[in-house]
Amino acid sequence: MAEQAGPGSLGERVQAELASAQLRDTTLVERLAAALDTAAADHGLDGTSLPGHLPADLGGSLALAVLEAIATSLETETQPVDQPVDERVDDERRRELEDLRNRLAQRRDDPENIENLSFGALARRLVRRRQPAGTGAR
Amino acid sequence: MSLPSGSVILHVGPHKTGTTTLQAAFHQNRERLAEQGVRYAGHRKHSMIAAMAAASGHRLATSGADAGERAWQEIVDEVRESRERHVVLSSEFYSEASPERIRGILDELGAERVHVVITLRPLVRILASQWQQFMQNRPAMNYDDDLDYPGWLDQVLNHPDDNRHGTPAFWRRHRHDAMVEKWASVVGTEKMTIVVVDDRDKQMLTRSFEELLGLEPGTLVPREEGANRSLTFPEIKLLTAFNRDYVARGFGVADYTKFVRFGAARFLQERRPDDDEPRLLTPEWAVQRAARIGAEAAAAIAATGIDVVGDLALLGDPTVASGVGENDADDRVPLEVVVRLAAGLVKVAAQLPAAVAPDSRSPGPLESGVRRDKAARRQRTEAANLAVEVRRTREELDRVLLADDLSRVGLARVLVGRVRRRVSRGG
Repeated sequence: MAEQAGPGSLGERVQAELASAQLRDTTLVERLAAALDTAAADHGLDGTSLPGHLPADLGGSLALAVLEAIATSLETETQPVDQPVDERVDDERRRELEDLRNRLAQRRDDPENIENLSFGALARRLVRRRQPAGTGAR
Repeated sequence: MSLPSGSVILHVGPHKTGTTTLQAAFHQNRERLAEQGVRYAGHRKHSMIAAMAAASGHRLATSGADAGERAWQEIVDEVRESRERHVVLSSEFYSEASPERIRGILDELGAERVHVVITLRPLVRILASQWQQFMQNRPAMNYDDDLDYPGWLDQVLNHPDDNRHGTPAFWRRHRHDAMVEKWASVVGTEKMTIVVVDDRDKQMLTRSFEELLGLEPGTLVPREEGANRSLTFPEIKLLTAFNRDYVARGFGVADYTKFVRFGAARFLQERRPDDDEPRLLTPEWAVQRAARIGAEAAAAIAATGIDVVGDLALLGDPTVASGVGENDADDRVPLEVVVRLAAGLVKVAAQLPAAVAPDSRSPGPLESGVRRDKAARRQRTEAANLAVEVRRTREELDRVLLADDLSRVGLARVLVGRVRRRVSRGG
């Protein structure tokens, strides 16, 4: 009855169990899987060689570690590690981006965009620049 | 026997009598039913919160304050406006309605149109699955966690009035004669039908409803029923151990409802256990006691004169019990079961949307926190993406040149560049 379950920590097994679910929030899955490994280690379980069976009470405590990890992260989330996001800054950025995109579109469509000017038109502008003011050739 | 056209068929369960199968069959065959003039009320397989609101005024811990009441009113409107030959409502939660609530339900649906159908199953085949169901809603009950399954059986079967078992709903649902008489006292015996489910005949239940509704045979075949198997003995051992810690930790009912009842417990049920994984067994003494109660109920129901489809004698037959015996004292569970339960909890968290819950829901603090956390993470990601996009667009803008932006030298370089490109293209 002391059989081993084969390689793989508790967290790795949970991730494998969820592989077919194709969950998009992999960050959270990894975070909770890591919390399970920590909980298993706290209960003296060797992460590389788990037994095939566990006492039900221990199993229940380990499963609860998922919710404990969520609760703990929520407590610490009150002071996020990353910079807090100010929605007003976001709005200003969005307006700035829209303005930049408008200007970009205008410049691309502008007849004076050098990409829109033919070789001859460019050459004429160069010649005009060489003429002193007021003596432009007609 | 087919019911008269215009009837509203109110199937009231109770729990553990094939309701999930029946509801899946109605929901998944809406088109075929419509072709035959039958409407299954509501949009879901089981309009649970509507039935709970109507029958008891209760709500799911995760439901918004009046979500059930609104859902019930939508169903009432749908029934009143329907022009089909029959409308069907089905929920096991109707079985718990008090006589006053039953009157209210009948008044709203139109008492003259309603025909009540009660499905019954031998008590000996209900005990284990109903206890498991209670354990999957443990934090919502005032349950004594020292009671294992045999302890709970002793309480409900031998001391039903001592509410140490914390499951008073059991006898509201499963003192079948009392439940039948309660409905008959309001509806009238002539407007009721009882179907006694015979588990030896898998199609008996759906076939009985096809006949009542005058449907073509084979109309009510569920394509898929979803996860509805009973938990294995190791699974239920693990869940009860988890519950003990969950309640002791002070986590709430709403989070349990989301993460466990409709999350990890369902995920456990979707697991395919080995054939030799032990099932929860019911001791012989409990089978005999439940069969005696079932026989009393059958006699009382027979005396009402209500139409019965199937064999009432099954209710008191101890030989129809399955899974009889003493459970293994080994308190260990397979690692894969622990992994599955934990994975189910992770899955619920990972699938929560990055947004606050709608007003129709009342999530617990864990769910709300995960949602908020995800929303903040998404906002941070979007802000970072926005900053990158602004920088890229600025760089792009700097590269788009108008002739006036260039000096003479600059213009000359552009012209030289074009000449070079032409020459190189010309070989």
